[in-house]
Amino acid sequence: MNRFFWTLLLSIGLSSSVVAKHQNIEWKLRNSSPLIERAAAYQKLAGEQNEANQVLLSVDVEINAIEIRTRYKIIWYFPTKESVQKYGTETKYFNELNERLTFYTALTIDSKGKKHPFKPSSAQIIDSDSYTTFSDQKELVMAMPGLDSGSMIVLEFESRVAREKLEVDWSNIIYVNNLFKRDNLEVSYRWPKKESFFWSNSSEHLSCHELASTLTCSAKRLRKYKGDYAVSWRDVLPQLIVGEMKDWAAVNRRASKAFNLAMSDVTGVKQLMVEIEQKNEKLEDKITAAHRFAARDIRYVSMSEYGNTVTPHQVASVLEARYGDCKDKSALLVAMLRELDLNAYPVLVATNRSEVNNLLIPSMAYFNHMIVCFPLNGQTYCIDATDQNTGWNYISSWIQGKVQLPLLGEVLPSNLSSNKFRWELAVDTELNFDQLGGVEEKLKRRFSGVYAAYMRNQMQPKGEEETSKWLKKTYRDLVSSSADPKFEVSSVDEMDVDLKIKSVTKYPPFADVADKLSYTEYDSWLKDELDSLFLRNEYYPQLNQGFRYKAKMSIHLGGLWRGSRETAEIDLVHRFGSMKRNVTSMSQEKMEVETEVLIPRQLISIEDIPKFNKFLSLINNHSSISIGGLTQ
Amino acid sequence: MRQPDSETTLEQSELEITPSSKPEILNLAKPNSSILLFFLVLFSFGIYSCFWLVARVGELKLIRQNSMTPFLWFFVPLFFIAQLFAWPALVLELKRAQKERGAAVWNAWRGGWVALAIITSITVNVSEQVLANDVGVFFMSVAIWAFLILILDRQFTRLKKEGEGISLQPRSLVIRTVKIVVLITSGVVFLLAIYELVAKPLQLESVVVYSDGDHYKNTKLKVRFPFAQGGWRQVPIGSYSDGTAEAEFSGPVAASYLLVFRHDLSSSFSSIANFRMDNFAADYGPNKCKQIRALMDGQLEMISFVSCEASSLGAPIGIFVAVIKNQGHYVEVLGELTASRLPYRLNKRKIEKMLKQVRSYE
Repeated sequence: MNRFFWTLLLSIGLSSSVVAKHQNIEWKLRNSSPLIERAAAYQKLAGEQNEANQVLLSVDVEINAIEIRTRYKIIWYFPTKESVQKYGTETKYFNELNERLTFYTALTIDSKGKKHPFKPSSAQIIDSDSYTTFSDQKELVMAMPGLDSGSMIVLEFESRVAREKLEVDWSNIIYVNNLFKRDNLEVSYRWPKKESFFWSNSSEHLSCHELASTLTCSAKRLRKYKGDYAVSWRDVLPQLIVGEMKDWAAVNRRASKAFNLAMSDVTGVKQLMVEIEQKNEKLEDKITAAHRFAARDIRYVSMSEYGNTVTPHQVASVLEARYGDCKDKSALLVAMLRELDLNAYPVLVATNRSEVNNLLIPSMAYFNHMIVCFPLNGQTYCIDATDQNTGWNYISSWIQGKVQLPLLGEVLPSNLSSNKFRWELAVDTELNFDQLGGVEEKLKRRFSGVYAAYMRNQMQPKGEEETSKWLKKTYRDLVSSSADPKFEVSSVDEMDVDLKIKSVTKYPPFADVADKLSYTEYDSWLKDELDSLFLRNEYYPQLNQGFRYKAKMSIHLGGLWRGSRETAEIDLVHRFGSMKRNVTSMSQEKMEVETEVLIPRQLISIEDIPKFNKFLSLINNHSSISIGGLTQ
Repeated sequence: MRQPDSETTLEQSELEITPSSKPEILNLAKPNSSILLFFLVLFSFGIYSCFWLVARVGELKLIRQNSMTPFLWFFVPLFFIAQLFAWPALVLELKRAQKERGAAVWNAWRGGWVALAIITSITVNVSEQVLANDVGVFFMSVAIWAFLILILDRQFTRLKKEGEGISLQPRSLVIRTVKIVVLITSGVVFLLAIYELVAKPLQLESVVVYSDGDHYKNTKLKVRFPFAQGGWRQVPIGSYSDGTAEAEFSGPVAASYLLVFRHDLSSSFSSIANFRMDNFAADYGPNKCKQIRALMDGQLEMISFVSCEASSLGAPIGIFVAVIKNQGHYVEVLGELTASRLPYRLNKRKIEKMLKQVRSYE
């Protein structure tokens, strides 16, 4: 929490601006209103409480032909200093391109009943867009003054969105429960009789009634949502959503229409592909080259200005400028792949959602990313053109399993496919004892698929020297600090092949060559991988992303000892996965140990998480290899 | 239980026939005392009969000037197939010698002796290869074998005593003394073997006797396992272990037992396995052990198995271990088995089946 707080402060300090007179925000503040009186009355009768309470959230939406006006009324009660620390700063997301905010009330009532009006000059605006996704959201931050234990915040403001400036359909989502408890939720929508609006409510606590183009919903005493280590709250929170799209085909048509605008000028693509086809013979290589160009030769710049918040820029202009965001890169890549006679098409991705069933009504508002897919040899491949290091045979790790909407007409949202084993690592180790009782270790690590991309992402910004230092540090942290490994890395700049890291390490003598040998080799790489697989959720199911590990270890006793005791063979088979280890004695002084761990991708229920972690612990406990030898 | 080397010298000396100035008179050693011969054969587990046979065939060769090769007869008692041909040939040759030298001919029960010798040999072989509880059968067979040798010796004695042109020379004092010493020494060994293999297991007080399919449950360790064969008996602590076992069982095969040990959590699957494997390696050489770890019944509970096998004096010997972790401690069930080849294989499978089903229970 502290880290978040300081990061927030730093962000505000670096990138925000004071917005006393921001063009989108108007302040018409007053110190008395029925809402303020309601808050004051509540304060007097608040009684014993120990956590923040949103006494009221009222959302009143009025839709007409010109605009959408939403009136918010919010009352907070903070019984403790901790609750003040946690929720004492108000935020409001808004769209800078088409939304205006007017504040009527913004004040604090302290524990003694004194009012502390918010000063508009202290409002901050920060850009909360994340890299590689498209969004035109800004965040208004209001640090409320005079808060102490027993104090209240009262807010009343209106949002007005011009309908003609909406690039896509309008929709509104209310998350019924939140991280705090909420005493009253009052929501209403009114729309013109000539228009149709659609709604859906997944909360059993929120009761809604539709009557004559009016929807009214209310709920009382809503429990707080329990946060968790790895859960997308959009997937789990009960929600009310209201929108104007009748079905997914309509969403698809609207999004396709916007995308096709970008495809109206593809000047330069044909010539580019001629060059690519001249340099590559196989179709697979041509796809790789096109992918590489869109991902690496077009630099990522977010360009979500008005008219292009969800509509890509024209392909020709992107090619000319050599920069663009995900939708721009995707449009270019679609054009390039179509030149290869591939039926490439754009796909919208909701990077924050994995639960298709929680897309309660059709809307484009769920989606914030675009990728490109195409069929080839009976299989569908999907490329994230913003991902510079994941080959087109794999789906980028960060969008695997997320909700997708292929822009292919009447297609419903579904989940992007996922690798059965997202993290794939093979380790080959050769241990050679020397005549003094030391060991030379020859190690080859091979990272496959998205794990190779992950490692490339780690290494590329570092450069050769920094990478070498990083690899050494990792080795010292995980394996041993008593040796100085020499590394050789190959295929760092490739996209479609495994990444290989070789190392040679000489360990000084540690074994008494005149005595019998009792040697244990800890599989540090496996242990490290297992550490990151442990699940920590307490309330919600958690996804295990899938892990495949193969290790082959050859141990040569250098003529000093003859093996007297082999390590244990392992045969752990469980519904969560398996670990198998075979031991082969090649001769009296050489043995090979092969280990395979398979933990396929699976959603682990909350009841099974402790069992899953125990399964990982069992593998961890049996990861080391122990042998014995008698002197020759 | 081999005879000392001196025995070889002893019997070979019986072949040293003193040349006579009158070639028609053969000087042969005086026959053994029947009692001495019986116990020498018995106490040597039949091995003495090999030397005895070489000596007697040698005498026959001298008497009949035939083409028999005495040293080959050393191996006849050891190979059952050879006996099918050898015994009838020997008895026939003895009969001829008796007839030629004018001694009373062995007529009555000659065929019966051959049949009984072959049956006894079969019994010894079968008891070694097939029968699980073979120790009693083996000792009984050796006793019968000693008796049969005694009968055959009587016929040789008759030939030597009644045969014409045969002069019997007394044995030297040294040879007689050596025989007595060998008899006493092997007798002690024989009695010790009888005690260890037959008497001692029978003396163990049975706490519980188990039948096939019965379960053993240790309420203190919360561990259980089934018996895959009948004849297992729970015996007092210390019968097989140094007193540190939690439970001990004597197996249906004489040299088989199961021990249940408790180890605290400072131990581990590896340390328990390594201890057993290192001990076995020290006794029988390196790389005789395999260990495998698995999950029990698809649950998240580990069971570790160790099996070490070698051979001792030609007979297989093995230890088999199952270890589980249970309520604050490890439980080790250790089985040991020594038997001849086939019963070893049969009983090994039974012990492994039992160990695979070692489980904890609430």
